[in-house]
Amino acid sequence: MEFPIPGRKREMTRVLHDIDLDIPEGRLTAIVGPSGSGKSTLLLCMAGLERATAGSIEILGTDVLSLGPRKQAAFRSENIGFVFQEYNLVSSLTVEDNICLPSRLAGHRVPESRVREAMSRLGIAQHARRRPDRLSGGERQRVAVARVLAHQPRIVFADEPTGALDLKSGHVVLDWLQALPAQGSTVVMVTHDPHAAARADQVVVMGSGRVHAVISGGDPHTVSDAVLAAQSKDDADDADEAAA
Amino acid sequence: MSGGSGTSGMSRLVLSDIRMQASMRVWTLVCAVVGAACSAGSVIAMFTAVSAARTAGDARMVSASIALGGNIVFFTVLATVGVVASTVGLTLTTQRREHALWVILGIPRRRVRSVLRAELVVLGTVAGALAVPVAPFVANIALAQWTATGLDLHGATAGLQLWYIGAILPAGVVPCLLGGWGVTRRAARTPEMRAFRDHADPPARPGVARSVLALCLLAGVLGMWIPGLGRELEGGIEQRTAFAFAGNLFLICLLLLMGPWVLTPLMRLWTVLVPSRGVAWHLAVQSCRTRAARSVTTVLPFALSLSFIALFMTMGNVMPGSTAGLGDVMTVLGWVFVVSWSGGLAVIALVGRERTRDSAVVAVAGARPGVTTRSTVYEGVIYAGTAIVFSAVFLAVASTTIAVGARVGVGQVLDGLPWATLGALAAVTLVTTCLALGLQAARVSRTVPARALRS
Repeated sequence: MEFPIPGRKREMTRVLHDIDLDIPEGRLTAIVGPSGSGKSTLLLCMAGLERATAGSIEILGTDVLSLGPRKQAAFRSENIGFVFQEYNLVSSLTVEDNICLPSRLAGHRVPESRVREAMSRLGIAQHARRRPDRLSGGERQRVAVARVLAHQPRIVFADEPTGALDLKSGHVVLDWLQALPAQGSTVVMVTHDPHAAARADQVVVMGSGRVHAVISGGDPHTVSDAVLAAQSKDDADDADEAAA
Repeated sequence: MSGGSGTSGMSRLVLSDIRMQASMRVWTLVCAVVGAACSAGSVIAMFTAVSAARTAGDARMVSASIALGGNIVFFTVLATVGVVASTVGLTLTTQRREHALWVILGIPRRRVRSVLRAELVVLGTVAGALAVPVAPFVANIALAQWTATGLDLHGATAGLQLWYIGAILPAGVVPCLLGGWGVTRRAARTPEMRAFRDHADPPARPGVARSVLALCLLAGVLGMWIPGLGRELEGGIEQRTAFAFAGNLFLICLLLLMGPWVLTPLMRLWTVLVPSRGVAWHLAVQSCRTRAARSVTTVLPFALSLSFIALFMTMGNVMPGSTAGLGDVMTVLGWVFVVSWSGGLAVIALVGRERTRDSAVVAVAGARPGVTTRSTVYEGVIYAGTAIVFSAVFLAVASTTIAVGARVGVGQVLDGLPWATLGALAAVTLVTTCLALGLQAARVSRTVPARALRS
């Protein structure tokens, strides 16, 4: 997957600058950075949910910006799974229906056994007939992960998937996201948390809409230092601009 | 905190809350203005007609004006209270997180309740003030309708008089307070963390007051039907038919009072019978079933209008020498329909926000363009369909009971009904709800899903 120069204009402000990024297939990649650094926007651009104003975004050999709305929707339902911080689920559908939704939209059915297995693995089988408003935040997030497990998309985009969870629920969700590449999925996760980011194979450090560094995962301290360095550089650049 | 600072603090909270929620409150305001104008307009028409008849020394016309005007005022005020209660209820349900936050921040529940009721008083007063120029206009239309049905009103017309304000302002405030009283109590009582976490309330059960009232109405149904359908009365067939008709009036009130427990199963029943595997229909059905309270609120005004029309037309068809064309029905129930229709549309507009997020999740999951729009329009089909099925069932019951009372065949009653008019009304209901939801779907489709999910 290649993402050369995605840029996006919003209220006369350029959010992302000169980004040339290659996400390795079948790996977990984390995008970290301070608030407002553009990491979520980058993720949404990659996923085709925000339209980049310049550049190109290629996923699985397809230039997503060249796709019309209908083809883009079909591409999403066939190949992409999402886990957001909140509001992952359709409030009027049961847990089971929510898990089956992407396949239903794609026009085929996920085998029932796979749905059951995904719910069992995430420990939510007993909630199959419940609606999201009867679940805790952690349970809702596990439903979103179960949807990804059952659907087995080739790419999973996760935007702050543990941001609204307690430590234990957060670990459960991260364990599953970390396990997804073994099933052949590529995972791109945006997070604030250096410990979560350190679980990734590759960490993209962002600041002020730019990629500051791409480092290997594994050590939370290295990730923290890289984020702080990016933030310090941004502050220094801001001070220089103000002085000028 | 001193009393003075407490009062000014409350005033600030009331005004700031109204300002913040202006876009949502505007629909309650619209319903309250329409209700106040129609109720007060009917009151003004009745008093104007009575006054003109007295001046002319026409005692028969005095009692006719009181009888006709009294019925119209009763039904219109009833509809206004019901519709305003629905919109207030939906508005407060949407704001439950904010109210929970007030409680979490330390505002006593009693104060929350007072603030919400003060907001309703402000809203009702504004509605009453806005209805002042409209109500005399309504009154003049009503007077013209009464004249057209054969009442000699001696040229009575409603100009703008000072006492009208005394009738119009309460017509704005009273329905808001009556409609919102129980809703504000429940809103202030909701456990704050349940509201804050967006957990749904447990399924509602009929309270004591509703149950007692339902039993009284059931007694009314049986009390009218037993003599009307099973006994020989001194007044003959006319009296039997009148009893059967009155029993049906009680029945319609009973069914509407128990709306959540009547309309929801009805909606489930007929939507199950529709053979469709399309994802848009599935989403629409699930949405209507899940938000049963919202669905009932939306269906109720349309079901009320259609059932009343069906009942009056059946009666007009059976009673010897009587007529009940659409014009006659509109004279008595026209303002009820205006209030009900505006209420139904307001409810549809009010729940639009809920749809935005769900539509965004569906779009992100890979829905083709048009799926969420179709699903939203299908919701309109479900609402209208439920109202139409309800009215059809009610029409069947009303036709049967009135036919038995009038000692004519059910087939004869059904044959004489203006099916073209009834069909047109059902079509108008369908088109209105689908159009209102279609417009909303068009608005939602312009929202970028990712932004809706992050907001």
